[in-house]
Amino acid sequence: MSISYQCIDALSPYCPCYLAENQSCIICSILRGKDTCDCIWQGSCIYQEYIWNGKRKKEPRKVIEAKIKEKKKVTKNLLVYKVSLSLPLSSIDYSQPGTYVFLRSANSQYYFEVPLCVMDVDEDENTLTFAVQIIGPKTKNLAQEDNTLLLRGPYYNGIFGLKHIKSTKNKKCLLIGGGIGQASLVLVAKALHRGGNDITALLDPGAINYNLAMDYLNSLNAEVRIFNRYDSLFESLLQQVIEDKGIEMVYSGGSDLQHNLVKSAVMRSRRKIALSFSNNAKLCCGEGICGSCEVSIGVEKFKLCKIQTEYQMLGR
Amino acid sequence: MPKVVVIGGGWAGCGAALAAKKAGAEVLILEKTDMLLGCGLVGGIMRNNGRFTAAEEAIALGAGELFEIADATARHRNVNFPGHFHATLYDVTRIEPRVRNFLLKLGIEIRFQSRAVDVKMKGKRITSVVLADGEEIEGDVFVETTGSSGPIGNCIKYGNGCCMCVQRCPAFGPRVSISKKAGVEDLVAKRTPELYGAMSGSCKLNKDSLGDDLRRELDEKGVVVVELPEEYIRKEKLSMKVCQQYALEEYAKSIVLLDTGHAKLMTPFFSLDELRKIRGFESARFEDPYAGSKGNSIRYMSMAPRDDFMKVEGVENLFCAGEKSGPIVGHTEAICTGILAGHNAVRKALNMKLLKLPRELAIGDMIAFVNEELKKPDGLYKRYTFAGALYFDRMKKLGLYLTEREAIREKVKQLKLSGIFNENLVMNEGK
Repeated sequence: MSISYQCIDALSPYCPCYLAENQSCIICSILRGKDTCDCIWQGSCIYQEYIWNGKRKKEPRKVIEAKIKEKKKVTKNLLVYKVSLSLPLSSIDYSQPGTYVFLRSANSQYYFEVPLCVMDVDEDENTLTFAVQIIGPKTKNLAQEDNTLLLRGPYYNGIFGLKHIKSTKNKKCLLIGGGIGQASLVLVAKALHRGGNDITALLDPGAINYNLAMDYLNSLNAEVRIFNRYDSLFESLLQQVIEDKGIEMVYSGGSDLQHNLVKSAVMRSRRKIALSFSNNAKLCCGEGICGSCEVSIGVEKFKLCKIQTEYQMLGR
Repeated sequence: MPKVVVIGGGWAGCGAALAAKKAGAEVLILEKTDMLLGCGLVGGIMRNNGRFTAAEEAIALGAGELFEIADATARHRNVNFPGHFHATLYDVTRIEPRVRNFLLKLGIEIRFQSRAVDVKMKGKRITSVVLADGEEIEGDVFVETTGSSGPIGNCIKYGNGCCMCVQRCPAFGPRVSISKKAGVEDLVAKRTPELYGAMSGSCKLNKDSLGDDLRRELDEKGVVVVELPEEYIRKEKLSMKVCQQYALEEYAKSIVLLDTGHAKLMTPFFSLDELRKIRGFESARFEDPYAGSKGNSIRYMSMAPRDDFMKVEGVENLFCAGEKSGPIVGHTEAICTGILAGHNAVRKALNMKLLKLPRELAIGDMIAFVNEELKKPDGLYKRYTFAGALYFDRMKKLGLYLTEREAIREKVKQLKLSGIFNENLVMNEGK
């Protein structure tokens, strides 16, 4: 085995999934067509769940209608939607860092679905907030909708190295957000804040020309600095912040280019620093079926919508 | 000092650790649960039939301490039950701390809740084992005694599902085949061409849940045989059993109970509903497996091909013992293979010639015989034990079955093997 990984959906209410029925389970060797067990244990037996469930997958995620409560055009290519969920208390299922959904406008075909990270959740209002950078036909189509969005989710694999965000307590953390990638910083910052962590953030307005995460981070008492990733001084700024602040955990939400700059800055520090990164794979079905997010590592193929691992292992 | 890492703290692992320590190595046991002895925590039958000979051979060879602890923890000695003679039944509720303290006093390090899940290799050598939390444990030689039962998926696919046995896979995580991670494909035992593994042969009732008369008789004699009403006889269970030494008519027609601290019921599982209709069992409940109404663990799902030195074929520094080393059944068998594996692990680390036990000894013959049988077309369909079925018949035929302690000691002496496991190889190196 070349990399160590887990399945983001293992033991969730959606496990076993289509992949078990297809003999393609990521975790269970028997549900991959082998005669005997050789599993990547995640704390319970997926084969047992499958048998108890009548050799069927659990009920998959459904498409639900979400009413648009607020729609704000922030800059010429940035829209922020706040939607309310009809099922009471269901927003709580969307509050984990790295949660994303597929959204499309009410009267469009399924292939208009846009994968979008959940920027913020208000559990009292039962609402979700999304930020959309308008780029191509799918996002342009979405931008025309004023009343109802069709939402498929929640999906959870929006961040690699998720365990570091969940387990970091009372430490010094650095969040780096570039452009629309800043949207993923909010739930990360909230989780780290709950863990008693001290947060510093570097924000680059990027192509959306706006610092989406600024207000959220300020409300969590984070120290926020602005940067421009095309600035040649960015790398030294990054290194300086990491060393001066004694940073112990880093999250990078942005492009792969940004990720790699962060990765090398952390490597240069020689201290043990936990790293997590936004998952930038092309997500299309989210179920490990379609293959749009597939990468090859050695002879093995991995679907990045399902496997939870360290970004560094993917060699991107 | 060479470091021997033993993976799995069941009887085989304890045997291996003992022998490796005696031979002078630094020894570490990695155990995934919170206790040693594995299935020995719910077993308890020693010295029945040919196991007596094997235990005495091990004592004469110089590594008999574990048998002596079992003897000293006996609830009953010299017990006979259908098909079996002169058994010792040790108290499963008391033996684990005794073994644990004994090994700790010898200076063996034991790490509990430390589950090995992978290996790091350099060519065909293992350099370290990787624990579930990512920690790497380095060693010179490794002994795998992880057994052959579990994970849960195997018990589901080839048995009646997880029955919550003493191995507690759901809580401590499943066994991982270390030899397979080192690149050696597992051997898997069969019942039919499509059906793998074999089911554990006994379950245990809580003794306090039995009727007063029944419990008193059990405490007194160690054995109680209760005739089964016709409608509860299930002969088909006999063919499922690992323990072919207990796959006799008597075990289908009656309930055979042994007192091992629990009331050991010599059948893989029993519907509690039916059991409670029998006099004395009205309040019965299971002690192991907890879901003993339903089934039992599936075993022999993961055996490593090995030679007669107990070294795993294809890996330079990995030895194996117990169920991992072939379709052998029982504590005695596990300890005997374990001590040879542990001893040879140290020889390997010191680049010494490995020790093969001669076929004049029951232990040596069984180790070699099982290997020969495994290579035959139906080899994976059979199980072997000193205590019965085909291997005990062979012992009797070849005159290997001896019940006189002195005769066994004399034989070992004539083979110039007396106390061989007592020799500190590390200290004597170069002498």
